[in-house]
Amino acid sequence: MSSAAGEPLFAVDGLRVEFWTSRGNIYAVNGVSYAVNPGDTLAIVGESGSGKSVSALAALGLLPRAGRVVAGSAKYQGRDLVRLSDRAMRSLRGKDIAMIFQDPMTSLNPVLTIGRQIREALQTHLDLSKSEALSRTADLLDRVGIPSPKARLKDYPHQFSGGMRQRAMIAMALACEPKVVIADEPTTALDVTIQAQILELLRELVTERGTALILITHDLGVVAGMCERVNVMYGGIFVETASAKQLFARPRHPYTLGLLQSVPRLDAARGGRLHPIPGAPRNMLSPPSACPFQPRCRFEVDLSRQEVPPLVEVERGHAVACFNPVPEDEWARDRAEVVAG
Amino acid sequence: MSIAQLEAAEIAFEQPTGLWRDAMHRFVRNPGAMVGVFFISAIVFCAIFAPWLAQHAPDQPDYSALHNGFPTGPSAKHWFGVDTNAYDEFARIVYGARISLLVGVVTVAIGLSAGLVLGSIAGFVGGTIDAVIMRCMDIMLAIPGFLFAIGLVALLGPGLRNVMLAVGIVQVPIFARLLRGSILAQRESDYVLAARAVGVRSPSILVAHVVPNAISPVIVQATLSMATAIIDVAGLGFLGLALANPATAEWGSMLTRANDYLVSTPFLAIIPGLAILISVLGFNLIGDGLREALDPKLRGRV
Repeated sequence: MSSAAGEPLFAVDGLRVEFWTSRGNIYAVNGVSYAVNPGDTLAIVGESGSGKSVSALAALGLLPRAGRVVAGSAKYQGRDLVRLSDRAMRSLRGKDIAMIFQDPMTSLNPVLTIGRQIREALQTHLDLSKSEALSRTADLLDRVGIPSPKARLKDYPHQFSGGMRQRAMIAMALACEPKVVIADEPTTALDVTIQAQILELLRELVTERGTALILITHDLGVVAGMCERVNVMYGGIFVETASAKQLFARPRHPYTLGLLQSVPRLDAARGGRLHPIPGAPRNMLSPPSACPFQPRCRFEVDLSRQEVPPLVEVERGHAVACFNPVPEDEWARDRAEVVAG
Repeated sequence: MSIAQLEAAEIAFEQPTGLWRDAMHRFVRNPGAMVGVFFISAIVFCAIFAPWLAQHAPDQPDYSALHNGFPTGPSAKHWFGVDTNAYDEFARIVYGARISLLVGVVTVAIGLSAGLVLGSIAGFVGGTIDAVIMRCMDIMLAIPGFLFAIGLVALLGPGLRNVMLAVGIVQVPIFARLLRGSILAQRESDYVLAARAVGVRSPSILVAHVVPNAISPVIVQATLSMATAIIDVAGLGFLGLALANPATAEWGSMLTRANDYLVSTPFLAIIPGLAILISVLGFNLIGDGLREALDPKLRGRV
């Protein structure tokens, strides 16, 4: 469905976001670029405060008051969302690009019924009569796996469990069949057993409609099961971009390696230790002038302190922003050691 | 059976009730609130059925009931006696209920509607508009409410309509401030972001999403304000500012007239005083009951 030949459906280019606070500017996103086409699944992975959610909110014009996009663009079918008027942006939001939020407990309005909230999503963009909208709402609830959807329309959010609320949120986001769905940590607030169901549902829905999915998460397990491509974010920039296969086989950025090493493994030998990444995330009160990960990095070189490393391709479709990338076989060796004990 | 279905079956045990119905449930079980409801019902009953309850008109003097020109105490003919103008005290109490309720409802309606509009705009729009509105409200709050009302009545001229307007205006900043604070707390909530992400327009978000979540303290305040309004108007009546026509039955002005006879016929002051007390206490009890019933920390519990 891309408008011009070769132009991606949704492309973020050189996006920079700052927050103006009383403590000074916070440089939350410092130039990130990515693109998705229909049917793509892209993961943006990073820890809290790495700027992953902010970059998505900025693209949709949903930044909090203090936030500003200071550079870059977010193009949907060739139209730059950053420069779009509020009215034009509003007509795109929910209809062409939808978002699913982290906490279904707080993302649904407690005083309105589930049906009323999903219907609002439909009627905001589509010219439907109330009865048409109601029957479509029931269909949507049915589609996301909520039993006896007609009766459930009249329920309030507190009568739904966490998993069901997230299903309702997904129904709301997919109501107008958007072309791009941004899911911001959609399973973080849920039980592990429910997480799997929600992810499965999301994957089904996006594949059957050819929707492009951007999944924002800190959970590498979720990424492995869901996404074709992964962008790892740290300190407001992408430090590594690769296909999921490449990333999990040969992580090249020290931060990615650290993330993988801090995930507990079921096949690890008894008494084996996890390797957390030492130090704390970078404070974002200044723009990066060196590699943002340098203070926590055991692979740092002199150049790491002097310049921001650019993303450089190390193999086809796999780029790393590092002056001294991790050796290709480091992760494989590490895993073998962990299993052997 | 999928896990979602099992979950649904489990949750179906919970009675499908709305949040307002839950609150109603808690309210009905609160004994204090029920006493308040009883008091106010009694006052409302008096107001509605005043012509049937009173055997005398409130503004027709019965000079035969006076004793040497002095007011007299309760008798079979005049249950609460007659006052200095030979008006039947009982009739004036029941008819006075009409004025007090009218005053309560009208002043709160004025204060609430203006406060609601100003408070929600200030809270939701923010920035300069917020600052301008709220500084105006601060100025109004800086003047003691009753003095402010007296000043306004002096400006507008006495009479019931002006008194209600004045007392209503005095209440505007209270409602505006309360709602603004409540809206500020809701504005950054996730469901507002979610509604924006779906493309809902800001005015609809304010009206359909934010205000219903922010309104419960305002409902409580509205009930409490009824009580304050009744006291304020009675006070203005006591000062002789409330009524253009002295024959109109109003509790505050009844107190004024009883003032000179406190020693000889104290019941002339006690009875309207009790009427004011009961109505104010009633509204306060209801307000407190509502505050407990609408407490968000208790939401979803029965």
